Amino acid sequence: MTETLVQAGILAGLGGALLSGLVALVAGSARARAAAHALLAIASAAGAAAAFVFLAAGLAPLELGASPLFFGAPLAVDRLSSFFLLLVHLVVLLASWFGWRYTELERHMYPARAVLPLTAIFVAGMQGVLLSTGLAAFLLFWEAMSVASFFLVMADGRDESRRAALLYLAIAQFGAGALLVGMGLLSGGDVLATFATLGAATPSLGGSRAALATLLVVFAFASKAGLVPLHAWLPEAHPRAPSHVSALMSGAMLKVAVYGLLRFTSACWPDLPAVWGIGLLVLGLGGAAKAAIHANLDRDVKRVLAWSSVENVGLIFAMFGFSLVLRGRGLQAAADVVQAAMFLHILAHALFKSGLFLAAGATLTAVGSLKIEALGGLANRMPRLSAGALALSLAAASLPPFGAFAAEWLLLQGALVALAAGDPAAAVASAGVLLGLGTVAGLAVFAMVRLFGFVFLAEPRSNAARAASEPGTALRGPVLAAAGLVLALGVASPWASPLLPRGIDGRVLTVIPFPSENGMATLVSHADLLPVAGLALALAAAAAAATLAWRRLGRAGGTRRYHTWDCGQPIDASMEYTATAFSAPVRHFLRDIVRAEKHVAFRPVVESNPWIRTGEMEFRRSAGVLERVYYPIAGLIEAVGARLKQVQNGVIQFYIGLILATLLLALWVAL
Amino acid sequence: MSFVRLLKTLFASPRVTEPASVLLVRQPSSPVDPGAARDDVEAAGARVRQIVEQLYGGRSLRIRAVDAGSTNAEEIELTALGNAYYDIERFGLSFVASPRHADILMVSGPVTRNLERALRTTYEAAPHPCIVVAVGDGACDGGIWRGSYAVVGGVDAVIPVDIRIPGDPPTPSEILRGLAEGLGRLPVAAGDGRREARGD
Amino acid sequence: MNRILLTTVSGVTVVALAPLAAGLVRRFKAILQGRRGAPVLLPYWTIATLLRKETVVSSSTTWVSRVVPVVVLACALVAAFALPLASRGGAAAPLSHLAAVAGVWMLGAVFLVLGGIDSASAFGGMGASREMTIAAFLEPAIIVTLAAFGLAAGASTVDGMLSVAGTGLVERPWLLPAVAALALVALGENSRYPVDNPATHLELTMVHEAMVLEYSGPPLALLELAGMIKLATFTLLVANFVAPFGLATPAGGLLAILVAPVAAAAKLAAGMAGLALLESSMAKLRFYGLPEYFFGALFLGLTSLALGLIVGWL
Repeated sequence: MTETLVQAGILAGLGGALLSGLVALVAGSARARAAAHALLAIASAAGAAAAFVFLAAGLAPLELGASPLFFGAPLAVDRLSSFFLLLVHLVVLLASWFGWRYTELERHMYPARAVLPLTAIFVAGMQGVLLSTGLAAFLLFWEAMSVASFFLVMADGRDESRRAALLYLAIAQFGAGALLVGMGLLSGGDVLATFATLGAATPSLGGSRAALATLLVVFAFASKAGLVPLHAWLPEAHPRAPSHVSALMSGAMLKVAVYGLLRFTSACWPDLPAVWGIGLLVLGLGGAAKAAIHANLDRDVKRVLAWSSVENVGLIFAMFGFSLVLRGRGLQAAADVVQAAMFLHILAHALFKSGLFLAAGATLTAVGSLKIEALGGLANRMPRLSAGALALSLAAASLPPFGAFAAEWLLLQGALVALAAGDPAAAVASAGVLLGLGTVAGLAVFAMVRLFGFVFLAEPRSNAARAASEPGTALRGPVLAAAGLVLALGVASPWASPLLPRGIDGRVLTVIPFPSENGMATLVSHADLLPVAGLALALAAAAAAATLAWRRLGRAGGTRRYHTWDCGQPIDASMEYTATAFSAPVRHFLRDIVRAEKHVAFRPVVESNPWIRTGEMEFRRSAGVLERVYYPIAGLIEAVGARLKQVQNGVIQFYIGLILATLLLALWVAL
Repeated sequence: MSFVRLLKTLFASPRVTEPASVLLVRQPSSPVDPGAARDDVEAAGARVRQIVEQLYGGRSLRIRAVDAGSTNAEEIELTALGNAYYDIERFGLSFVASPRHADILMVSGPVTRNLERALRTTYEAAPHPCIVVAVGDGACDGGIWRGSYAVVGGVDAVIPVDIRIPGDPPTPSEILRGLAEGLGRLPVAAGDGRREARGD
Repeated sequence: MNRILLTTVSGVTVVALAPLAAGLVRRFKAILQGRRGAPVLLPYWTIATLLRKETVVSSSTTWVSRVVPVVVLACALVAAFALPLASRGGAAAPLSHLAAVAGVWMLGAVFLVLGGIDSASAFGGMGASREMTIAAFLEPAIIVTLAAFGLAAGASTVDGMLSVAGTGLVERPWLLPAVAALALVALGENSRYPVDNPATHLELTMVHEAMVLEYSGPPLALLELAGMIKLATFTLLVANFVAPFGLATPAGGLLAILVAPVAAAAKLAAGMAGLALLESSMAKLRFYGLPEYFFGALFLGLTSLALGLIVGWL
């Protein structure tokens, strides 16, 4: 009975998405669009509920029905895919709730009639990827996801958006091509292979073929997820899409890419060698650090959020790599704990990143700009939205008592166990993880504090910000809901562990209650998160005590409003600190990495007086991976193409000669 | 400086702090101003004493020094209050960086027109209850600049003053005495009744 | 002994003795400067006086500034109750996990920084930028140093890490750099020399003070108390790693509970004397000279960790 309900719910999620796209495409009125958004929301609610029931009830893998459309391989759901399905549906629910009002308000920027059908295809593609068991169906839905999001990125029709969308598409197609070749290598050219048959076939592959296939598959999923150095499209493309689509892309699509890697790993290489783990660990942590630095330097709200996504993806890959290393060295329990941390971090990131993008979208509708240097003081004008944004920013900084903090707790627990286990390789990897995590965490907190502080606090820096008013419930609600969810994830994390996929190869996650000899905790690998809930409780109790003391003991004085202490000279908003100034220490201390260039030129106003001069300052940040790696590669391809173009010389005899040569070559190969 | 010399400086230097009983004795050479009316003195003194009592007897009072256009002579004397000889901290008084943190505002200088707004802003920024002390002749009534076009004339032309400490500039011990007597914390030395260093 | 009683006694001791510690360090510094200085109990009177004063709220600030003193004090209180300062093995011992400790300290720093940004003045922003830099760049040093202790003790909570304290340090001399790193981190987090001058009046040299320039009355009392509690917490933590005597444990009796506050007071006095000597004998570092400080703390912690690993493999 439960099984049928779950099946129905998941199919409703898929079908409802497609139906909502159809409704929005066919009927043009605003009411129809609202109905379509509501349909999408209901469908994703059903899907989320079904996935939750599947996880909580611990059901066995379910099939959802075969179809000739997908080359005979049925759609199925198991623990791994239902976890990601739950995550995707939650994000879609928040985004569609937000998108209903948002697309109406931003009608001048995005063609409202086209956005929802494309979003529906995008959502259906993501679900299809999660539900496919056959390689062909997987690739089909993968492409649908990529192409739909490509169109959504350039939805506002501007030149920069088109360029960003083309960059995104190029890298996505590279990845899809690599995936196709990798699948071909793994399945031996069998178009109808499923993950199960892949698993059976892989051990018989040759060493070099298996390594090449692994490399291609990892390249494909890493480029889609945004792992450095394949990330350059992410900060360009994610900010350009409509805000709820940005939330979907950052919150859900990146996780689907991670799912793809996990699925392939669990199907084909359950015992991936530790070398791959070390590679992913190094790439992940290094990329996370680089992205965290960039998040501190950027001046557009959505770009900062995009860089934060790159950083979190780096952390997720690092956790995956670390767990592979631990498993390769025989520390199974610690590897399980680190993987639990990874899954918890994936869920937390999906929630807080989508919430932050939705908050950015709400701010855009209220102010009209997302440049940090034009915002400020919004917490007085939008108290409720700013409360949600504060909670989400704290969650993004992995602070207690939110969900990402619980993931860090587990990760540190696993790392400490690996340190003490006595295996040199695991210990060195663990020391690297501790060092890297500390660095990245510090910089990430800096970036999030800068983002929240200069968007919402102090005085407004522009007239538009001064005139802003609180967005309506339809825009506020999803943000507050996301904040509440990520807080609940943190506080209820001890009871969330049954929801986590039990390792990527079906093993049971070790959960040992916190031991105590004489009450002093010792180091045992365990996934017990009860102290996280305890910490949340302790913080709440301490805050209550502080407030009580303030109200009781501080009653005598009274309160009075006056302007900020300005040393007696009148100041205005132009004298407050800016976000660029706030990150000056980071720019300075890391100047060898940031490599900013500052050119200052002075000219005297009047030739005869050299002491009164005008100055011009140009401040450029150095070229990143985009300009130093991608553009040269693109230039190379263009140069090669220009050379090959010489074949198209327009002489018809030459073309006929070429056809003849090809024919002869084909005959020779066939005979 | 070598480490041994540093330790000797820190631990073995002579103690030069003047005891309070010596510092706060009224010097016989200071003049007494017969002009101030007795009732005003009593009323203003009562206000200061009420504030002090509300703040736990003034055991911990924090001072913000405001320069309202002085010659900096008073500032130098105020700075000297923190050194080892006068040591204002032993009386529970300390200097703070913001008027928001202050219980006492020590204003020096006749209030020049350029700093009138600044002085008023500082006073408004300080949380009530706040005791205002005018330090130096210029702050008390304009001093040698009284009547000039460039000054407003005495701190009490801008904000209400609770304690006046005249002198050009008052020595640190006169400032200490003025504060101590104005706050009603320490007994006046033997001698006649009124002091111009009292709450005014 | 009842675990909840142990935690309560430890926390209440630290909170009650924190203003005394602040008074002691000021008194010791004054003695070293050749004068008598303020009464040792002055901070108690300061907080009491502040509670009686008016609160002046800046019209440029938002609701976040009202929340800041409460959250900062809450974080300081949680750290004071959870860490093994006057007792060990209390009910809150699991909350002294490496991640929890780093997270709670960072949460307090984040809210202080938000309060500084919210003041809409350049002083607040400058102090906030510097404080956030210090907190962010000290984070890897905290994690690596505590991990070194955790490796040696086989524990993931600071409570368990105390099993290698005292004589344990003599047996494991490679942990001494970690103790030094912990002391460096403590100086940085509490805004003492050589990272920051807590008594300065020059805003261009302020870090911590600049962020609280806008607070007055009871909220300022909460913030000052939080700062004092944090100082006492860090002092007792470092002192307990060096000399873990007088800690009440579940195995001890009523006498241990009575001895614990006295031992804590003695450790605080010794710690404050050392701090006063340190502050009187060196100059504050330039802010732009701080990367060497951060890297020094990180390097000391890493050295301890690496040596501990190597010793374990031999």
